[in-house]
Amino acid sequence: MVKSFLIGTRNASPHLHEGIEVLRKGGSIMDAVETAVRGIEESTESGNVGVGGAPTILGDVELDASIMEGATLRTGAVASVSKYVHVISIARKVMEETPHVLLVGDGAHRFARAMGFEEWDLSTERTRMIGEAIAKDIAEDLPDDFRGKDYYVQAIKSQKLHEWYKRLSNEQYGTTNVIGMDSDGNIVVGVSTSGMSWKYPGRVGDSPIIGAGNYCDNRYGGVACTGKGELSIRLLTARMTIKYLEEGMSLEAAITKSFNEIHNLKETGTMQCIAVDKDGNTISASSARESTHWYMDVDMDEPEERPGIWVKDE
Amino acid sequence: MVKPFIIGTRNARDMIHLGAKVLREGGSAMDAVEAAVNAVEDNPLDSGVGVGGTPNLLGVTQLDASIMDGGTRRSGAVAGLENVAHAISVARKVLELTPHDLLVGPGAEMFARAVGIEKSDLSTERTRKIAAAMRAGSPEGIMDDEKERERFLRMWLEEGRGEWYKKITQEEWGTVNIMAMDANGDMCVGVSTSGLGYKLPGRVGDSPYIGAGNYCDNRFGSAACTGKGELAIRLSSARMIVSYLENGLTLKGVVRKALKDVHSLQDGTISCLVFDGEGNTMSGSMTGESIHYYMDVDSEGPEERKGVWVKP
Repeated sequence: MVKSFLIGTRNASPHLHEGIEVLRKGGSIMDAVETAVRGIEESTESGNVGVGGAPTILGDVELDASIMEGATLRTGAVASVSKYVHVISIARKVMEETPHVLLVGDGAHRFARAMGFEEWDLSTERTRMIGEAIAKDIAEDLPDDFRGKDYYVQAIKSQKLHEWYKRLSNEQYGTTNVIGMDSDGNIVVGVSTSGMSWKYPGRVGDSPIIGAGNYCDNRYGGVACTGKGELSIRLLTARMTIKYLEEGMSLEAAITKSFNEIHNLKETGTMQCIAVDKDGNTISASSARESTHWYMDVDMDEPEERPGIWVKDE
Repeated sequence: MVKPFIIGTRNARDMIHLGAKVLREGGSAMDAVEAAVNAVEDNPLDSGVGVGGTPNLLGVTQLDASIMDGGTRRSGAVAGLENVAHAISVARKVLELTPHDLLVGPGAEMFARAVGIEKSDLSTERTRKIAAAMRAGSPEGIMDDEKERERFLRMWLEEGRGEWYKKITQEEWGTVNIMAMDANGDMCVGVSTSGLGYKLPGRVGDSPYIGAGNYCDNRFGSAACTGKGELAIRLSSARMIVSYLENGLTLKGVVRKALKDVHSLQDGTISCLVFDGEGNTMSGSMTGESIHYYMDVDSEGPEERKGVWVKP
């Protein structure tokens, strides 16, 4: 029998113990994943998740998140949320309280208010500085209302935004992934992010897209991705990895196949993922560098770093 | 070589000839799909797509759409888009002009304006009546006061109106699926919808969700879904259909397997439309006889083709 455990990306490692504490007190694996992710969302350290996340091209922080339950294949997600910090919890409410899977933008705000969530200022000194810097970099002769929508529209029309964007966006992302498994084999995957830095307003990456950045099924395993979400959206990387497990591949073989498909797209940008199989084996992978993930079970005092695999372009 | 062709769901029957014309003139599959979908979006009598689409719980029509290119597997999508009829064209611009796949809400609308797509009024006599009825059915003033609207939502969610909501949304959907293959063997899938009727504001279904409601890969085939999108999202149905084609299953086998997976969730139904690399077409339904419409470059009119009814 597997001991209940959590794994997470680097930015999740300082918060895994918060989720483990929930398990020790008898909470569910979903409670544990949610709690760990909330810890990251509230921290200003990560720079790509929750408060202080990377802003859009207009300088606003817009968050995406999803949560999935492997026992029932139930899931909830939100995207483009700019007024609330705990998007993982709003995503869970979407799953539990509505007949829907994904709520976006203003509709997600209304829903969060109706569910009693408190508004939160997601900006920090850093995000404000980035906002200013973007504006300066795009246009030397800034109009006074450069943050206005009309300016954005004009900048796209004049192609300035595209040129500028191409220079910047290859490595501008960071997401938190937390996967939990309890001693009964129940798997939950949580993903939360502010998305690609300096994204277009309203851009949604793979984090809230079930099958792209998040998927689990108790019968096979669980997968969560970070990186250039546009790539995993086009391939359904998380869903396909689970299908490869279903077809009988090992965790490493399944991930390797998925990442080779990413390379085959021949696009700029990279992907990372963390994953578990139904037996509780864990792995992480990167298409661009050495990979590690952090593991903590209910009997451990602190998380342990585990090596993953680097799937190179062949 | 396969003759260039276009297929669509029932609500596309009278529109796919516009796409067939594009193909006859040597246009790409994507041009053909966009032309036919635009015509469905413009039709005010179609209550599930574009102008006249059934509004959300607050009386506002919000559109979702996606388009995918099977050669590059690049895709573009928009969700929660208001005040723009040709959602599929905005999705195509996302594919062509941005490094992204999906834009939502006001960001999507701003982007549409930036690329020169005009504002349009999506309401019709019917949708205005629905919005008025929803106002009348709610406590006085609650729908008109911005702050009170949250109370309205909470009421729906918490005070038993959720049950009523479940009932009305059982069959309140209608999405258009149109897909084509051109003379180069390039495939394209287009999906456009106003989503589930009376949905929560901001709800996104499977239509703009690549892999759920839309997928294609020139090497294997194309798939699109309609119905309760939440189910296709939970299973990545369109992506699975194309991967089952890759595994070598027959078209009928693929549709059966994908829809049986949906039956196993026991939470509602979807329909799907599929073709393979040889130009064979198929459709599937979980609730009744399934049909789809086909036209190739030599057809004079749409041909009705039978699909499969996949029972539990």
